[in-house]
Amino acid sequence: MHALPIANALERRRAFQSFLGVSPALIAIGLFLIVPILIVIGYSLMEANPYGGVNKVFSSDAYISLLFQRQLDDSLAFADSYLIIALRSIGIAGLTTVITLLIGFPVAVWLAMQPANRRGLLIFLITVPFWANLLIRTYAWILLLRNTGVINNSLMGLGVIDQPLQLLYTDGAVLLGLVYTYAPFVVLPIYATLEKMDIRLLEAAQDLYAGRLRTLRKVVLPIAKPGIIAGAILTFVPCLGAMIAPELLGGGTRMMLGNLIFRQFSDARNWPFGAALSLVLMAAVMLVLTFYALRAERQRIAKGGA
Amino acid sequence: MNALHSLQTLAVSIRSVRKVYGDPHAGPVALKSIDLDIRDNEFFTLLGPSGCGKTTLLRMIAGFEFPTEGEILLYGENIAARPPFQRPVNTVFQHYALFPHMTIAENLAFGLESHPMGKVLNKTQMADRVREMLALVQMERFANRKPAQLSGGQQQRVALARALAPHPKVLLLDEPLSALDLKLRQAMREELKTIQARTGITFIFVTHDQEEALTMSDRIAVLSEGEVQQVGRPEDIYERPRNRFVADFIGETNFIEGTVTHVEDGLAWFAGPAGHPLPAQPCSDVRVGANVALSVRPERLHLVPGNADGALPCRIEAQIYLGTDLQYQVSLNDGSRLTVRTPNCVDQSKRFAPGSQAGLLFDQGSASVLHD
Repeated sequence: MHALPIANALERRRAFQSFLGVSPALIAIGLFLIVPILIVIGYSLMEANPYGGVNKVFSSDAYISLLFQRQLDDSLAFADSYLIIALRSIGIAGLTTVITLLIGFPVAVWLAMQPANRRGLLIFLITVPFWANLLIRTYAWILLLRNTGVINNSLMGLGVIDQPLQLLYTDGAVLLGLVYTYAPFVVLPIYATLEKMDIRLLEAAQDLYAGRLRTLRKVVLPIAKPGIIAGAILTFVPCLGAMIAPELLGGGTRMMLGNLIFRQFSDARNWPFGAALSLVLMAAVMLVLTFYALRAERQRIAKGGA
Repeated sequence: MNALHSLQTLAVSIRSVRKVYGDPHAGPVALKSIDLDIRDNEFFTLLGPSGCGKTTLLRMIAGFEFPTEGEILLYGENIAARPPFQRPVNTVFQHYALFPHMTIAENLAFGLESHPMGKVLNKTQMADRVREMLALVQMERFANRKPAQLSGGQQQRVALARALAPHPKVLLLDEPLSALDLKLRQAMREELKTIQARTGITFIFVTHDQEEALTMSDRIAVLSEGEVQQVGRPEDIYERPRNRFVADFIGETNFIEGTVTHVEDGLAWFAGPAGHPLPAQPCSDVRVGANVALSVRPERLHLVPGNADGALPCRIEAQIYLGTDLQYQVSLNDGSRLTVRTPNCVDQSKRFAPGSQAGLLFDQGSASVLHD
């Protein structure tokens, strides 16, 4: 039994070494994730300074004003304006996700079916839009959509319409901008799952009397599912907090959570409220993702693993 | 009448099938006008080196590729233009191609559900069929596992059961044993043979392994460079190879040049190496005086000590120990070299030491005449 203390010491040393090994990651997470969130939490619990920033006094006003408005007599009345913005954001983000999936899935399938030597170039082409700043790309949509923009001018020039259509500053324009921005985020993860798929599985399905539709439904879709879910999350979550498209293409009149938060730090000068809004948004997203992850895990166990 | 009768007993009939990739006039030729008849309830093997066109031919029967010219008849019906899901044939793929997201039972049910007969079967009948097929390959215990949880050999069995489940008229097997280790491969050979006999389904088996082909097949077609070199029973192919390619590809052989001296009792006699008389297998189309190439299998040659009567004197150059056999490299007086194989023996004194002189005897009818 002499070996035991030595083994223990060795084990402790190994544990310490592995801790040292991951410490850069821990430091990075601490510095770039936990500390900023703590600062935001701190701000959300302070009093707003009308000139910007915060007064270092505790206050829960920011959270109360999410759903209530303080009346002149200091009583609280229910106010649904922010709730409506939240619901509209969820609606637009959801719709964007559905549309990007409908566009992205066939594109990803097509990409995965291309000969391997051509796929590299095609993937490269899909990433080309990322080279230009999002702000500039969104401004380009303004040039296309505005009343004197390319689309309206062409349609009027062709005599299809005689009044310019109101394309810009609508929910449709916001949706268009978001779909345009996030479509690659759907294509890439779905492509990544399908690329690994053995093409012979499609032959096997056809050999076993499945036509195209059944092959798609029973073989391609289930195999692409992890990619579809990843693409949906990569679209839905940033869309909820999207700021540029609603600001520029919605004209700031069709408010979404992203520009609501942005306003609190700019014009409205209510940092605590902005901080509270972003924390609530983050908590909601994390809640949904955790719920999803738990459910997926339970299904995996129920199905017997693998 | 006769033609009609033979049509009905043919499972698959390949009629002047040509396959060219890309441009039909200038593209690479995969198959140069193939004619093959595969009989009902036959274990038929397409054998050849990689690139010979055997897999292309199999994929055309399955419907994954289409012939540039020619017809593919399945029980008399031309199916050459039909998509794979409308052909009553199923494939066992080389790497199994099991659906990774489905359980074993779901994999087996897939073909049943898609098949037109799936609309007739109810849930219980379908489950019965799945169970029956799993029992056939002894995989009942694994019905609820996923493919990734099975070993290569088990996946192989599942792939076989999945392909058999919808009662195909013909089962196509694309080198299904190539990914298994030696012991498993040998066990699966016997099992495939048994299952073929039990189900009565025509098997078309593709392989590059001549031993697999010889041990399992009722008949073999040897392919090379997009052409059928020879079709026949394993014995025909091995004992009477038609040409140099077949003789060389199947087993080992010695090539000897010889002149026909006379024909006697159906045996053609040749003047072999150093003018030694050599009896060849019955062969109708040899003329006296013709110079032909012969193939002699190493195990048809025998060594005797010293200068025995009627034996061809030779010198032992090398002895190779093969376990079951001993293989000798011998050289003749004219400098030509031959390979001789004899069963291994315990008695060391019966072995021939390298450098010693010995006599070489040829089995009656051991040489077969090659046609090119």
